[in-house]
Amino acid sequence: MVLSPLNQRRWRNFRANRRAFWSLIVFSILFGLSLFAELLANDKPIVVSYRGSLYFPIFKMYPETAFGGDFKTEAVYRDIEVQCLIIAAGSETCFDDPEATIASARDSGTVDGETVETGWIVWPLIPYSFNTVNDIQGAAPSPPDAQHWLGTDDTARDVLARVIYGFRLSILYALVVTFLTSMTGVAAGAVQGYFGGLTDLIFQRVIEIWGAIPALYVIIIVAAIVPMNFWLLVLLMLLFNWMSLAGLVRAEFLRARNFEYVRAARALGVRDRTIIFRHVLPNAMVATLTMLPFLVTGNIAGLAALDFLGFGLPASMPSLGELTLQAKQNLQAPWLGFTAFFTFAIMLSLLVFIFEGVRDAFDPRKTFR
Amino acid sequence: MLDAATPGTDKPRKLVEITDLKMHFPIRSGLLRRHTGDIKAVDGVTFDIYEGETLGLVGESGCGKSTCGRAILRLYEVTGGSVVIEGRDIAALGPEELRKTRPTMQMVFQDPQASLNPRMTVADIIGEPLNEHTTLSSKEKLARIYELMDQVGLNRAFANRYPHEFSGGQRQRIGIARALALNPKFIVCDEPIAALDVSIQAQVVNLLEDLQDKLGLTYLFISHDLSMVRHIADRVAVMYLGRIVELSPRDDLYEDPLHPYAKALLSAVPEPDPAHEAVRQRIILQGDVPSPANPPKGCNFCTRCPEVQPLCHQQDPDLIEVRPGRYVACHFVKPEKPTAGSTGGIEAKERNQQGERR
Repeated sequence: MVLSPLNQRRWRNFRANRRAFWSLIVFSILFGLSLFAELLANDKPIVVSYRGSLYFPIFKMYPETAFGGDFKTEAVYRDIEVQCLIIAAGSETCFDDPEATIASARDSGTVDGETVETGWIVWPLIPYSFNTVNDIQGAAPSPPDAQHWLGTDDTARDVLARVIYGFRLSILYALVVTFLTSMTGVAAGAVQGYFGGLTDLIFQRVIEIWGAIPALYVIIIVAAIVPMNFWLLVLLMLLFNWMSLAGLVRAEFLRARNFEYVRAARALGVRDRTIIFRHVLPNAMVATLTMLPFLVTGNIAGLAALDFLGFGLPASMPSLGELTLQAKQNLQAPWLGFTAFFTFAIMLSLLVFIFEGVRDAFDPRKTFR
Repeated sequence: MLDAATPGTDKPRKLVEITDLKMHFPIRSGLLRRHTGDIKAVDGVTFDIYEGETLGLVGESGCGKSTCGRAILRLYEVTGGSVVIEGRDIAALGPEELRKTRPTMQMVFQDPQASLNPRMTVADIIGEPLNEHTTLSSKEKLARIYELMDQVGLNRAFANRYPHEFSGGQRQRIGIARALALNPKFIVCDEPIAALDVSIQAQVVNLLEDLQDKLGLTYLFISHDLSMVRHIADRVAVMYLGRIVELSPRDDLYEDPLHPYAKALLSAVPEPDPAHEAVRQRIILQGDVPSPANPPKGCNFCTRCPEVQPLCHQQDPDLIEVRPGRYVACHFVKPEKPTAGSTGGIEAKERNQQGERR
């Protein structure tokens, strides 16, 4: 793909802003890793070798019977018996003394004097998923240790695994909501600003009334009636957030439609559609881009606030807001609070730095080295 | 070209015929934004532009010069009248027909900074009309863009730069190149030099003249710089409060303005010779230009005219041909008999008129 000279210039400008560029790299790595969260933190092994053939439990469901067990339900790989069945090739002794059987199969390749094909298991880096309830010694929010690098929360789930999944969920949610609200907002603002007059007048009154509806109450009411899920929350947010950009874009369109170069384009016989997209919309884009970081960070904070209040996503979802709530309820477990704080701080700072760089790169008058 | 406008010789073709052009902007007030009046920016303007000539349009700020120029190109929806360019009434065309007619008529704008999209490169700006109205391949288009840049004296190496990287004069050259892209016949120059400094003004005006000679262009040159209009125009129209008060060949107008407003306006031109400048008689007009929303009854100029008569407050004078090729809208500039062509006759007439007024 070849970038247009303008976009090449923007890319150069963006790269010249070192803070933004490095933020983008760091953020891309973090977000890229979190997209593969299933391979990074999961309570199922990545690869299993059982009797010489390979199994991929993350991508496919295998019943326990596939490994010589008794149940037709999915194998619980965290059980020592299941691990023993895999390593000792389905030996019956696993049900009596799994530890000894595993040791024997590993060391000598024999179980009870019979030679077995020793299997192996490759675990993800963090062998817990966000919803794995772990068997820990002692009280539930356990401090960080070798097994749980950031400790566990009050239902003994691994905090690091929850942070990885929660990070991904927050970013995806914010990006989806921001994309949809800005599309709607820009379209609504463009219509108002370009046509002006009575259209604008009526549209503005509708926005004023709609904007006066307290969104939080509506979300709480809806949450009480139907079980909340990701897309329902996105829809509700879209309904109440699209106005934030409409006013801005409308103002830009009202200003820009009387620009001399818009008039010049009209004198040249350029089509209205082309004028809107080529001459007027780019003006609105700078204002939109200036607002976008606030929208993205606002949406992340909004989701966290709803989760904190308990009206957001279901409690089983890996939510940073829910982690914050737990931190508040368990002040004796500071690792929860610190984790939540640093996750938010790093995530929001990186995003703000990146968008700041994007905004500056789109500014045609700004000069860089 | 000057004699082109005078009768007797072969009259060249009329390229643009403007008849009773009106451009009123509605005033809305109150809660319901009711239509309570009109700003009569251009109020019944009639003139023709001949092929290959430069018609200067002068007048003080706010008299409707620019609005007139824009209304002629139908950048505004005109209130009334007709603008016939090459047999087609621009004022009555539908949107798509109008768009297809655009290549014959173009505009050079006043502020070269504002009239160029800061987000587009020079090549994009000059190429935009080509994209819209032609089906050239990108190679042919680039060749045409380079050709245009050569014509207006821009270095080809600048094609990928942005307007903000240029000086005012260079930007105006970009604007001119864009206007020329579709080989127009008629160009409205809306104060093309007002935003430039003096040394650059001369360059741009000379460029416009060269292009006119080479390409046979017709200009409507809107300006408040009377000396520059004297340099470039073949005929000059003087506007006051939305009307044309005098339309004369250039030399006649500058040597012997007939309308009282034209006299006052031209008396304000400084003389380069200090000896003449010292004895220059300026006619200082009293008061301000009346609001175009509420023009005076009768002659538009009656509130400030030094030679005002009771008739002026009642009756609106028509623009009539008082000398061959000279049109004046004043009750007291009487048409001369076509036979009286001698200079003495005109002087006698002038004396007569002044006698009448006293």
